[in-house]
Amino acid sequence: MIEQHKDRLTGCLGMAVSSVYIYQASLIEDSLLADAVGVAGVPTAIGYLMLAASLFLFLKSLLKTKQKAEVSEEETEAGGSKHPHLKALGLLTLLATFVAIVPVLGFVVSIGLFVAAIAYYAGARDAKTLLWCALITGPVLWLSFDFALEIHLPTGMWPQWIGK
Amino acid sequence: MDSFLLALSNLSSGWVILSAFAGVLWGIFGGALPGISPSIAMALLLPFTVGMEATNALVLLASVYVGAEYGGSIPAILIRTPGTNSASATVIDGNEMAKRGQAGEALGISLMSGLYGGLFGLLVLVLCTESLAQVALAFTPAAYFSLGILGLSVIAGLSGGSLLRGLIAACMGLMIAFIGSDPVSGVQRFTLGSEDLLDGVKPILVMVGLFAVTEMLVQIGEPPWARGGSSSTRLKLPNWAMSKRLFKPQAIGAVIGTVEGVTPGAGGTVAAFMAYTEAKRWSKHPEEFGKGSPEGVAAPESANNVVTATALVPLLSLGIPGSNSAAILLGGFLIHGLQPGPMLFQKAPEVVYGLYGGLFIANIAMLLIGLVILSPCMWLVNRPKPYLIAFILALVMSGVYAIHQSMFDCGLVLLVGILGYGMRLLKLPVLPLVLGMVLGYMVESNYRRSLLISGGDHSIFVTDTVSAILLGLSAILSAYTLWKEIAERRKSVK
Repeated sequence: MIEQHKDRLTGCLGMAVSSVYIYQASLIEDSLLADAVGVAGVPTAIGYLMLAASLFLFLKSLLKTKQKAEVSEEETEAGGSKHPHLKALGLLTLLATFVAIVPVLGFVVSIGLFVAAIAYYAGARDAKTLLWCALITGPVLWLSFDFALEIHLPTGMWPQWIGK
Repeated sequence: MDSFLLALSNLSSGWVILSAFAGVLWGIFGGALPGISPSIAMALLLPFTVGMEATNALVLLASVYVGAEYGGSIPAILIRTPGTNSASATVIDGNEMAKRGQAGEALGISLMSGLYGGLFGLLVLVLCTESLAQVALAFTPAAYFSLGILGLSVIAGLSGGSLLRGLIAACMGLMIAFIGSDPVSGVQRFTLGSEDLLDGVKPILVMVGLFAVTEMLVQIGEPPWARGGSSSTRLKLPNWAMSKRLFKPQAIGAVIGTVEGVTPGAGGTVAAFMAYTEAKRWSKHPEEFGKGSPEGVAAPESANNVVTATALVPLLSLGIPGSNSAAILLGGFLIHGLQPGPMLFQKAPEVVYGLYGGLFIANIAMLLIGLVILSPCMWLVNRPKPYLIAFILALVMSGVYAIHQSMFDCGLVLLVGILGYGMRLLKLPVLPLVLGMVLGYMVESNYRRSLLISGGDHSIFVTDTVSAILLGLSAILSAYTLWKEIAERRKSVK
């Protein structure tokens, strides 16, 4: 994407986000305890500031003389994925799946599966290492958090399943 | 003089030394885990201090603080994940150095800058506590507002050449900071009806999402050998030439860390960012900042370690805990029947001077423990990339969960990761967003409190002397940065 297009897109997105924010701020009901500025005063001002900055960036991109197309630095490196954004989307799906399954399978089991799945997705193919990673990660993190730091990780549905 | 000798005698006390080493080790472990803040690491040890002798207990807690503030820089440099809020400025150049295969140098600079900063802060604490306490007392809400504005004035220096983009990013940060309960009336704002957002969004969640998750989303699409850095796992301490070069940024960090540390509520994060931008401003090589400048590591690390000692100034002299960590330390004092404040120096000088001695040992312990553990840490991040990505994400998810013990936070971090990925595609700088987020609450709450005090009269911000000085300083710094940017742009056009 060339620089001009990036500015234009940033400007458009900025205007959209700030408009929604200003609208949301207008819906906040003032409290009896509110001061002269009001509950929504500062957020609304920041919303307008961002709207103005985004509009200015957008207009600046329109007024820019046609520049030589500048190729973005984020072009795919040789040997990397041909579709880096799709690859990132796949990773996000795995992360979201992890967040969804923790309440069911518990942290220790889920994190083991998660580590193996992500390592496989990132290119690891050695089945033995993957299995070891899956088996070790959960207990190590459990020992660190539950035992050493006394931060209890979610147990999932296991207590119900085994009738505890 | 007797008290000073008492402090010196603590340097050879076995229990004090053990407390300092144990505290620093625990602190480094906690600080290196994203999500475990210095205050959490301290709070976890608080119950164990009940049966301890007062000086040993306080040395243990203060050493955790020292260790945790340093520990946050290790994952910041090695895996682009700040372990603590104040390590987020270290990410910028520290991780760039690691990507260039200079992880050993970056960790060495961070360790030595942290040591110098910690010792300088201790010196300030010992010599100037009483006079600096007056500075803390001079801070009214108007002055706090202006201090926040001074913090925001460095945005121009963090915008990567485009002030407009930096401004948009800073506004985004401020918008996130306004989520949650209103600081004056308690009314819910932008929570979309979610109870999980009532308390607002913790800055560390945004930082972990923006730095760690975004980085992993980018790296997954890169070839296995990309950004691997060097396979060397040798820690490299700065040599004489490098030490000379780093003196100026370390001094800048020390001065800024002192001012921010003695000001209750300002904290190490703002100090680190301000030190970074000021070091860039005064550097002979400003063009290297953001691309792996050693000075860009030294300044924030020096600043946030100075704060570990100077943050104790308002606590010891006035009994005001200026940060969460200081509040936990206050708890440690109260458990042992001690009330920090002006009388503490008369009533229990052996504890105060014992704490000074313990802090000195803690800084030495930080150096020694750092020398031992940093090479294994580098070895760990040189493992094959697929496993490294998986383990970083597992660590991030566990650490994020630990903050509130809530899976909602994990989902939130993913959303911030997507935001960071989008920002990277659009070349929007993330640092102004982080700064806006950190300072948003401080700026808004003190702005409105000031107006409540003045009955809506805005002149309070210029009639208050400290506020006027800080606002003037913000104006000068902003104007200077803008002028420099415009001059550089004209130069490049020519």
